Amino acid sequence: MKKEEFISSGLLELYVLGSISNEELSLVNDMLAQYPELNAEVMRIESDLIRLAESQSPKPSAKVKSSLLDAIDVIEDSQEKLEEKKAKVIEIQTSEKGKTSMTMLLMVAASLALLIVSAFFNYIQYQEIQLAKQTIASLNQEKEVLANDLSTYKTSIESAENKIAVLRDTANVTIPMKGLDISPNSLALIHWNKYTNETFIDIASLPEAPTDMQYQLWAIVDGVPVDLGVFDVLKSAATLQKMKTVGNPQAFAVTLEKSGGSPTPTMENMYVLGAV
Amino acid sequence: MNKDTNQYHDESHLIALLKKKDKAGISALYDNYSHALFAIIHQVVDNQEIAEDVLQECFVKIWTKIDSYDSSKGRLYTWMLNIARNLAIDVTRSKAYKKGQKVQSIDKDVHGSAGSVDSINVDTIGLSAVVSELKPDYQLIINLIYFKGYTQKEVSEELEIPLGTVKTRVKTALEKLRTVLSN
Repeated sequence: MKKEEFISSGLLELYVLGSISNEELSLVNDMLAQYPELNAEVMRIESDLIRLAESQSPKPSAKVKSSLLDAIDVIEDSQEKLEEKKAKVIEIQTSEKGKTSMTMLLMVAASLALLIVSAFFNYIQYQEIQLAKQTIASLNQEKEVLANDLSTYKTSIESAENKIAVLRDTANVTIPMKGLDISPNSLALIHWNKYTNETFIDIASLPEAPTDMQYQLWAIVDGVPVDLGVFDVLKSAATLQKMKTVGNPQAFAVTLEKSGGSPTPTMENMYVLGAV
Repeated sequence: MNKDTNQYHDESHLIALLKKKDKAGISALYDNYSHALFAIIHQVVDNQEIAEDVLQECFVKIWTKIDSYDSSKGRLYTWMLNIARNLAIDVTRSKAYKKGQKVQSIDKDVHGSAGSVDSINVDTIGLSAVVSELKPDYQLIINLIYFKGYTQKEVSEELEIPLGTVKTRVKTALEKLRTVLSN
């Protein structure tokens, strides 16, 4: 674009007025760089615009300038103070930082030490608790064993008491049944009540019965064997086992029979026999 | 060139002083431009006292924001003009201002659309004898662009004239004014 053409375009006026697009602005900047003498034209336009504006109103009162300069003093003062304060804060922060890091280090070290000690005691405590738990468990077990024993003893005491009661009862007759050839060392006693006809067997010694067999007690009444029931050989020696009642027995005998008993005794399996 | 023009000339020196936070800079700047900027502000707020407050605020802002001025984007005066006009417009939007100006501004609000043909006379009210030497069309264009901060495009749309016409009218108006001002 030629210089004269450019001047007459009105772009320079709009440039000073600030009412210009970005493309126009770069064109103006290019032209101003290319033709430095255009700057004089810009000055002239600016000067015109300033005079035009000035013609529109009276001057502002003189106090505005002094008030402005005061305001700027205040701004600069507070700015300075602000910067001083910032500097102080930074100074304090840096000096505190040194202290802080040492203090922090000590604190961290102390915390770590405390943590380790605490962990150690926790471990010890844990061990102790585990031990205590184990002790309690074994004590509980022992207690159960003892309770079982106790109930066993109770039972055996009860049966012993029963036995004593039976033995003391003068109405009872005790008939020993001695071992036969098949088991000469065996021995069992019958306590028979002559009034109530109650019959108790008291096993002193009988071999353990095979698993599928049981001992069976018989009474001989008028030469005929009468079934008084099957029994097991109990561990507790003190136990009396109550059998079926029988009246007027002449003898008692025990045979080994199939489990549950037989209607008639197997004579060759007779272990003990005793006459009343 | 007269002495005054030389002062406007010396822009880079002023800017250097301002950037150094030298109070001599703001003092000289005030002497050179305060009247013109005050006139722009006064055109907008239409109140002497408020305009003076805004003027002080404007120079404080120039002082604190001088580092954001970029000479490749335009003249220092243009930059200051925008600050002055924007601060003035902000003030007119404040509640306190609206309350105080209620009675006075009714006329202007009624004719709020600045570009309509009916409002030409209203919009040029307050412009001095210098401007009134111009034809109404030219008065209007100077008022909208210079005192109200309209862009060319906004003027073009508002007045329904081509962009090229806006440019030439601005040019012609300023040339006319130059003659008037020289007399």
